[in-house]
Amino acid sequence: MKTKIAELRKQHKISQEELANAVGVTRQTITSIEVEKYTASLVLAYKIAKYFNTTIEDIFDFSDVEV
Amino acid sequence: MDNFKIKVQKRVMWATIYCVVFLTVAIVLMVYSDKASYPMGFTSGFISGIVALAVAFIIKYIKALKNPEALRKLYIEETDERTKEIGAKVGHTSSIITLFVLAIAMLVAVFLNKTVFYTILATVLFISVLNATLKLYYNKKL
Repeated sequence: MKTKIAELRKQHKISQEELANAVGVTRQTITSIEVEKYTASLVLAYKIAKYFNTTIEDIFDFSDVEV
Repeated sequence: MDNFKIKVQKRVMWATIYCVVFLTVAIVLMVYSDKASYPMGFTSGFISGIVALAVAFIIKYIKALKNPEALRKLYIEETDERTKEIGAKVGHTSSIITLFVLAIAMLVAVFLNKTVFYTILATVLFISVLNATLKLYYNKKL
């Protein structure tokens, strides 16, 4: 799943490690989400969105998700 | 984090109990059995391994308990959702591969040795029953 996490990190000038610590996951998890290898759970997506003070839809691209 | 701290303290307690119990067993075995026998050698090695592992965990947990930063790092390591998913996938895949390899070994063993064949058959049955039981349990639990 495409995300804007890397972009937001650059805007806020924070490292993967700092974001990972803030949302309670390992740095590897953030890396995997950024390179689209792993899809974050709803709870983690919420924590990341809350950290950047935005919504889940603004960070995660759900256009490929079929309903 | 307080709950996790209590959990880690309990783990230290249990690891210490394991050490004491296994060391007691090792001492009793050393005193009352043939020290040079193969089973005794294997048991000593097994117990040494368990105790070494328990001591390593005790050291790791005590270090984490003394330092809040290390405790948080340990908490993140243990609760990371990707790590948990990797663990679940590894468990699932390895159980399928284990069953497959054992099934092949069983088919070979039936021509070579009956004892080995029945041992592998029992193992295959046990793993299959365990898999089915756990599937039922987690289907109801989750």
